[in-house]
Amino acid sequence: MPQITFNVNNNPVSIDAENDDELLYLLRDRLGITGPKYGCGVGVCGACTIFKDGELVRPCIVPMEEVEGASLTTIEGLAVDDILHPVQEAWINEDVAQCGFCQAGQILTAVKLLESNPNPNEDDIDEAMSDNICRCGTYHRIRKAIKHAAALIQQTT
Amino acid sequence: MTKSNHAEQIETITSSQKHDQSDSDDEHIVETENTGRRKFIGYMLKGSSFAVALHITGGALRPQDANAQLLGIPELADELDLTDLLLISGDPFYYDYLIKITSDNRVRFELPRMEVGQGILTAAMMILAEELDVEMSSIDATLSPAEIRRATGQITGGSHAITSLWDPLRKVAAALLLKIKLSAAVHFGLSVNEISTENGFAIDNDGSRIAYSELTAGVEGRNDAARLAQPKDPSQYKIIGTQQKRVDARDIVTGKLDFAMDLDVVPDAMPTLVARPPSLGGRVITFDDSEAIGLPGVLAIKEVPLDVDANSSGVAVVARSFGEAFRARDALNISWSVGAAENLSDAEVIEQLRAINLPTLPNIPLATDSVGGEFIFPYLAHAPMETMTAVADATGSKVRVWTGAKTPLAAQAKIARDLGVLPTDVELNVIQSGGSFGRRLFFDAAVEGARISQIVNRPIKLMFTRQDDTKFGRARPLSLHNVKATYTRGFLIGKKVLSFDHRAATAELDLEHGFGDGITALGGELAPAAFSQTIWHSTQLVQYKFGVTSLLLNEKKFVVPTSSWRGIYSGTAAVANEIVVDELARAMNKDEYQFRLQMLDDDRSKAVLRKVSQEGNWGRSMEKGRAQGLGLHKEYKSRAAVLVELQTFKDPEKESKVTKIVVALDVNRVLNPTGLEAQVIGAATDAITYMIRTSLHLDNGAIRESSYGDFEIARMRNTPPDIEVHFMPPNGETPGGAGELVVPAAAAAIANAFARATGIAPRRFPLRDFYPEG
Ligand code: FES
Ligand code: FES
Repeated sequence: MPQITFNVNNNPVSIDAENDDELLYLLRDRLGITGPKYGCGVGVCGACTIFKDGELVRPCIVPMEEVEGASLTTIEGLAVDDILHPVQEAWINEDVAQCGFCQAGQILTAVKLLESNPNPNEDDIDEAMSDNICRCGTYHRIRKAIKHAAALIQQTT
Repeated sequence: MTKSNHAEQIETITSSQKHDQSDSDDEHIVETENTGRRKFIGYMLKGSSFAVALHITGGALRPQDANAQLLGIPELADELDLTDLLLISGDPFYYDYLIKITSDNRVRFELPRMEVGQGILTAAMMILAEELDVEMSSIDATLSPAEIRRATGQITGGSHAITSLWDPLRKVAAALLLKIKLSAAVHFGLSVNEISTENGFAIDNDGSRIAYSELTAGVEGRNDAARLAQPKDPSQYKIIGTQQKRVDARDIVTGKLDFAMDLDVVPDAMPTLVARPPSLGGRVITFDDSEAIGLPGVLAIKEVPLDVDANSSGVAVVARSFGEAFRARDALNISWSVGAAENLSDAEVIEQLRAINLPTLPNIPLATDSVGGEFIFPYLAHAPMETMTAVADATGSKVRVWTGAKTPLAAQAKIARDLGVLPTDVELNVIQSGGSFGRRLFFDAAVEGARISQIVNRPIKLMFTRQDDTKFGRARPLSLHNVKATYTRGFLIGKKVLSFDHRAATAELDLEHGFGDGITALGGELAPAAFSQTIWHSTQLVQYKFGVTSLLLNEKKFVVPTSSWRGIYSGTAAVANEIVVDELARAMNKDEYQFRLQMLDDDRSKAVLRKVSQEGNWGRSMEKGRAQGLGLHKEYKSRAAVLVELQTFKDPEKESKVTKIVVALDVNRVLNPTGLEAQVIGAATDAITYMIRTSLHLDNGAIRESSYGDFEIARMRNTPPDIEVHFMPPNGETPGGAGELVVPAAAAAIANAFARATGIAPRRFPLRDFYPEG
């Protein structure tokens, strides 16, 4: 049986790849990593967003073969030793979440935005975040939290 | 471990009179912790504990008074609104809470409401912390499973959650605190007046402290004195009215908050999908699973009846992962019968609604003029981020379900009927969910899940795919509204408004979910057949001095399954009214703001209107193509005013953009400003979604849209950075509702801004589809 091997949140995983599942279902249903959520299954909502080798991907449309040898980070792996990432801190401080279902994807997308642009303006935020849906309408607080996180990151560096 | 959490909670209640748990029970609980339901940690450990459940019946209005008022009042909502109806019917049951002080001096609390992101759990904990003199962080709160004894007191809908918790929860908590103080008085040998309380400790006049958990003498059994306990005076509040972040914020940002599909409550519950018919109401004629059954991970494939439309059927696929279930589902060969409404499309629904709509009053020739017209609001998906989901196990003697249900008792009853068991044999656990917007008033996945589990004889995790939820899920009903305001032409005296008529004809709104049970429990006089009339009349009103007003509803059932959408009828009807108010102002050569102020029949509404006008700088000059717009709404004992600024484009490729939102709210008293602000902004975002951007379409018996790709709800770029929310100061009344309040006001403000910017009278929505060049 073909096996694939990869790393998720710093843990090595080796699992049979007989069923060509998309990565999302492999993570959620077979590895029990449930932070990435199913919102649409077709790559249009962003609820499932994770990092694959430092890039954002939507695992609902990533075939599992593509992760052979890759290193994945899900929302569960963002805080290191229980120390929250500044974006997570900012999300708590601005009380962003309503139902919370979209927020793993929002947070990881914001992390990526701030990595490439430490000081985004409103247009940059629009551009980077508009592919992630929040049905509860937390966009206004996401904006505030991104700016808050940018300030936190600048303080620490 | 065979017992469920639910069974343990029941046991906890019945055993609350004993305060000595055996060691084996201690071990038992430790096992519970290990199953992953971390929220249940920390109760019923060794030592003392006590629970409180007071039954205090009777409210300001008794049912017979209510019925007397129901008859013959055209604008019922002014006198007795849906909030009152829910309070009257739920009142006898609202005083039943499980509140326990555990041996480690924490408070365990079970909320008989549903958390879907609206922050009700946080707000309830604030009330409890305030009245019990404990810290928020020492409360462990969970959602109550369906409990038959709660009868009409376990429903989350109609924006009445805070209002219905306010008096009961404060009184029950105050009673518990009095019990604690009485016990402390015995302990210290003092009178109760000499005892103070703080952060979970009772303190005597020398400053000696004892933890609540150490106090048992006198706290058990009847203690009628406790009924006399008075909740705190608002001047003493330390928590209520302050900004409190969501209690689960950290779990959310670290991915730890579990939704139904993340639970590991039944270890062998397997992912399940259903192949659904291509049109609404379709059925399986035959199916061939030979190419699917042998695929990796596939565990079972069976034909199943579908819940949303009981006449239709589909094929359920159970597999090791949802990905495997998708693959097997797609490999099925199914021949379908088409649904009964094969040729039905939006245009036909509109024609049929037009035919049943009641006429508005005619003009008096020469003497009067009128404004208004026909408004059409399309079918609209609720599209909560988490689709309908349920974990179901119907293999044992008890049917067990974990799901997000706002009407859990109705869900429990329906599952029992469907499976042929007693409601007491259905354990329905309420799980925090990813949004509702009205969708989770129904429990389609729970009923379908229990049924499928029984048919395949295994525990399952049923998930509606996004496509299922969009195409076969429920929708806000399509509705048609004839609104007409008549005024004198005013040759001699000034123009005067004579009448305001609203005639709505809507696709039938399904209210079977037990929202109805609560209200029909008033004594049966409100016949279920008239139930939608009751909801209409208890929610719709005109808050202006417009002479003779009459608001009437007629409904007709079509194939599309429906459910209330945030705002129920107000999200459409009240919006149409506010658009006509603007048109009336202009017809009478008045400024839209001044006209409202002059005609309003409600001082609280005037105050919020003034507030948005000041804060939003009403009347400021704007570039061509841009305009401000106003909208008001009065419901749930609350008032809202919204001012928006809108930019429109002549270019059909570009949609109108809301560039600023100013909201003023009067909810009598704000419990948690940050939570309320989130609700307000969410509601305004909803208005952008359905007024400007998107809708469903019925095409030959099927819904055309399938996902967020074509049902295009508002995204970051469609919402403005500039949003202000203002709250009016507390006025001493019971807090009003607010979860839906801002939807109609914001929607109306958008439409009114659009009309002022373009000169187009908005009649159909979403605007970008019907007025692409506006
Ligand atoms: S679930 Fe992956 S993008 Fe929506
Ligand atoms: S917080 Fe509910 S979908 Fe974003």
